[in-house]
Amino acid sequence: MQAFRLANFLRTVRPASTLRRSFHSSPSFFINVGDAIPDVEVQEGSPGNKLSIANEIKGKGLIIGVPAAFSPACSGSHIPGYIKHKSKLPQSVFVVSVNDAFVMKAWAESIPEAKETGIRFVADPSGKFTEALDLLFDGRAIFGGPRGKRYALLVEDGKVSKMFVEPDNTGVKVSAAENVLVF
Amino acid sequence: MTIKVGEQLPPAPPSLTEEKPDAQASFNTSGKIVVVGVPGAYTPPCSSHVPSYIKTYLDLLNKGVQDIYIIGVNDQFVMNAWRNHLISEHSTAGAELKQLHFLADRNAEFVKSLGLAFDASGLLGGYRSQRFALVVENGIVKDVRVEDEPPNLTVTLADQVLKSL
Repeated sequence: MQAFRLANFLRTVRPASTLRRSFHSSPSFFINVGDAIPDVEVQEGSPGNKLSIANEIKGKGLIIGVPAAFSPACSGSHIPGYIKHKSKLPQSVFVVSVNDAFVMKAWAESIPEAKETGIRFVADPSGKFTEALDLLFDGRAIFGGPRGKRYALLVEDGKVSKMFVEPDNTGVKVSAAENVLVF
Repeated sequence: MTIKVGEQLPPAPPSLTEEKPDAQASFNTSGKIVVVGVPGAYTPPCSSHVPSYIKTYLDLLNKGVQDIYIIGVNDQFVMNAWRNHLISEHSTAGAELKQLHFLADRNAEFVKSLGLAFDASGLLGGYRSQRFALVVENGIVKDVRVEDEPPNLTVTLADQVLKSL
């Protein structure tokens, strides 16, 4: 009797990723520790300069997602926190935002010392990379469209080794350098 | 339908903002204004287009222009940062340029209402504004200038608009 009830219960509980697939027209991909970084094109410096972070990241890496280039939290505390702790940064560090390549380039240039650290600022203008990570949120009210949550992914051998995603999308807590760079 | 001479300039919708993402913009409808559309803050042609308005600012005011509105389909944080960058690069130190406004048409609603949006998905990630300049007097459009191609800088440059006033 108990086994029957358990089997019935399990049938009603579907993994989140299956539910998501039934709502999307194209297969979606929910990133988890152990998963490979999606091989999706982003841009660096100009729209014509395309790359895939999955191909560029060597050895130990870090991908930092921000909701918006030039917004106060992203510019004032989140990224500067990583620059302050530059001695602890892994070999490959990418900052990604759903902004165009020109805006990302200008933003990188406006952050003191960003260039010296070797952190690469890449643009995900259509949100496809961020969507493949399933880390978009509805930013229409402030930004006019979907944006990336604030997050940090530690990467090893092309796979996610640790994930830090802000539960409220935009706060600077779990994804702050002090919390991420202790590993 | 693209906006035409003789038509009323549509009012600013709530999604068209100035200074803060939740501060709805409004156009001066009792006087002469210039409304300028740009495809993208920080894109190379736009970063020479807008300086032409900064350099010609006083001349435009002397010809009776009361307000100049620069509009891009960008969020307000980007528009503000770009405004500060351009003003510090191109105007004399301490100049306030109070009548030069940078508006964020974050979801392209306003430029679509003018019939002047285009699909820039491949390059910039979504709909953007064509490059245009409108001269509007007491809320009625008097002159419509639109570049044939978004990167072009011809009829929409400030000195061209100034000549026509």
